[in-house]
Amino acid sequence: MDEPTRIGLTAEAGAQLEDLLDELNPNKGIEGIKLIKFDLYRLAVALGLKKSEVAPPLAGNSTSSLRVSELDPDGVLYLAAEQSEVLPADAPVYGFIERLAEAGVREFYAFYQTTGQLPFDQYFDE
Amino acid sequence: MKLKELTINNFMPYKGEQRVSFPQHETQNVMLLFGDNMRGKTSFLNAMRWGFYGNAVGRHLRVIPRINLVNIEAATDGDWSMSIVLKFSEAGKEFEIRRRIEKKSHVSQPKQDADFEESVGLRVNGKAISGDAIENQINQVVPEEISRFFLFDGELLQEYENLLIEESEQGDKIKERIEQALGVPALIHGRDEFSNLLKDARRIQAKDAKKNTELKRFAEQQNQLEIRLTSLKNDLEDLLAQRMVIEKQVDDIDDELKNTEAVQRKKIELERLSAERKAAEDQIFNLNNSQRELLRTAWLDVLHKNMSPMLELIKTKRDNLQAVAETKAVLNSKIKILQKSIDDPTCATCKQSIPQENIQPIRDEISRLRAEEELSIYDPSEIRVLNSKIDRLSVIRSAEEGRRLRQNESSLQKLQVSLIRIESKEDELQEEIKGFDTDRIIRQRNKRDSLKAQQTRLNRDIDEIKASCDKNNKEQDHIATLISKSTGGLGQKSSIRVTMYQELEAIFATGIDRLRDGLRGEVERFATAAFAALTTEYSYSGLQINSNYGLSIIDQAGRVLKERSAGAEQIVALSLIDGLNRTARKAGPIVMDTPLGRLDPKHRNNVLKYLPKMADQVVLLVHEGEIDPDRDIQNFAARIGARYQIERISATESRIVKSD
Repeated sequence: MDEPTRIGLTAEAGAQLEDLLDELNPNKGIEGIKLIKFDLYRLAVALGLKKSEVAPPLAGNSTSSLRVSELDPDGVLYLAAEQSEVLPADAPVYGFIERLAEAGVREFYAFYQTTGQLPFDQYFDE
Repeated sequence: MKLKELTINNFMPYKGEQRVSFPQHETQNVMLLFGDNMRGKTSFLNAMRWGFYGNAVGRHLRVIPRINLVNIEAATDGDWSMSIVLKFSEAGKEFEIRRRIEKKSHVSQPKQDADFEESVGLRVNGKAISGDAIENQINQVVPEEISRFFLFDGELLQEYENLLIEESEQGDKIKERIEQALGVPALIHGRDEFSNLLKDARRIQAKDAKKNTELKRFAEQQNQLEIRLTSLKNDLEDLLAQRMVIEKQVDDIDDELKNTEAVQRKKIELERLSAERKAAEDQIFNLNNSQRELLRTAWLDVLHKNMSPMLELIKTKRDNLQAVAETKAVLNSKIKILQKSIDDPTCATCKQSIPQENIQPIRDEISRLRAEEELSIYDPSEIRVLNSKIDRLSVIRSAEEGRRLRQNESSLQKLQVSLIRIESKEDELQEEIKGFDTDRIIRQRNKRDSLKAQQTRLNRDIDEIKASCDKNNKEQDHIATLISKSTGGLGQKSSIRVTMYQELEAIFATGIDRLRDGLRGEVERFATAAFAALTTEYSYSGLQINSNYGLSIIDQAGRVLKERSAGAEQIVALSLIDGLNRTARKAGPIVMDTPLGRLDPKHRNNVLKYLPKMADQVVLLVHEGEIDPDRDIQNFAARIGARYQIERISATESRIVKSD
């Protein structure tokens, strides 16, 4: 199966990711550690794999804005996704990863809009 | 005297007509009026004072202007009238005082006392008393001089502490009022009258002496002394007036500074809160940074937990395959050794040959090992693949990001709550001190210091002038005596009069001292009895009175207690009030405003038990912090004849309602 070299999100989820980064990062002009797109993208994929639920296909075209070699330089995400029981048989692994990211980012955004924070207790329960 | 009914109309916070009936029962003689601070307890007391005497007093006993007596709401509605009706009985007679002020018809907006017209009416047993006799009649029944001891503002208790300070100005004022209540002024006025008569007599004597050549010199001296005395008295009057002005200024500044003390405290509290807020904000900032740092690698923590079981599975699989490979190698090695011994059956060491009968078992063993070796199947490339997977999965390491994110989040939430609490407290304090000028506070402090310095100088000058007056008087007396005893003066009518007035003045002066001593003894005796009932400290033996009517606590060894707590001060002051009330010319009901403010529960309990015994009628104006309506009242419930409550309608309006 041919693996894509670039993956991303739909335009809508991409905008949501930008909004989340704006909310979570310090205001302009204030020093501090800053998050980038890759950070939340990878977290969304990892949490999707943890849930082990079938992620729906993207509702629109992907922006393909992220280079796979930068997102997953050691192939760790690939390996983890490859081991997933819900990996579709006829789909490329990075396509599956993209679906997980799309669903995860949308969920982050919905939570943040409702509660003003991410549900760490739910995501990282022991 | 027994109070029966008070009707208030538009007085201070009481808009419209409000009526209170006082308890008439012999033992159920306590009336309670509950009200929070700023609701109108002191105004109730003032309503009674104004009804009796036409004046209401604020802090430092300053008279409250009429314009401030009329309820603001009523005045805004255009009703500039206010009235009090007081019904009471005395010696079997029924009294009714009606006092009213109203804006003069030609005045549109009143600004001063003169813009109001006051009318007062008095009925005794239903019969109207004529206007000019009213005030006199009231003062015979309820003398204004003793009002301080029955219309008693508990917030002024502190002033009584000044009685312990010899020569304090406020102590002098209170002493004067105490003596008025006790009846000393009758003798003082008598002495002063004779002093004036003596002055006149000396003048006439000097005039007579002028006609006598032998006494002319004395007459001239007497004249000079008289002129000097007049001048000294004028100076004294000027200085006393100046002192009064300065005292008022100091009192006003003290009032202002007392209010600003709270502002100063609030400013310090604000600074503390500001530092606390800054620390909380810094902690929140650091925690947010830490959260972002953890979020960057949190995905690895999630994958680590997710993939760990799989990694273990792969490792086990790899280990199993490696074990098979090792077994296969061992079997091959054994087969090779055995095959070699069959191929060359001579021992390499001892050169002996293996017997033929032993060869067959070796062959059997080789066959068994080969069968076993053939069962150990594995694909070496599979191990390589598994090892590669293990290597890649081992990159997924956890720094416990998830647990730390949760911990931080919990700390962040607590800090956010704490920050909101700090910020709202800051807002409250900012609101409370809004409009206060802190520079002005400093200026006022400096002004007060300068005024106090002036006051000290004035006091010294006043003392000097008083001493000069005394000296002058003595010299005048001496010269008058010389004239009286001289040949020319002896038998003269004016000299006889001078001698007579000198002796009468001395008699009255001695009388004053004796009366004072006697009254002080009485006050001390009654106050000590009251103190014994009120105090919870049994090691005290009693109270000792000083020349100012100040009371000191005496211990069992007869020593004066140097330091007294605020609660002890209040107990001593209440004891003094009781002593004065029992010693005064006329005993009346006791109306007390905030009498229990600084007392602990035990003392409060003692006071509540004792108060009903202090007078035939006791009216207590209290807030619920002083008397708990549920707990404290049980101790003297049998003595309560009436209960009222002041209800808040608005910041400028209150209403008195009867409660159960």
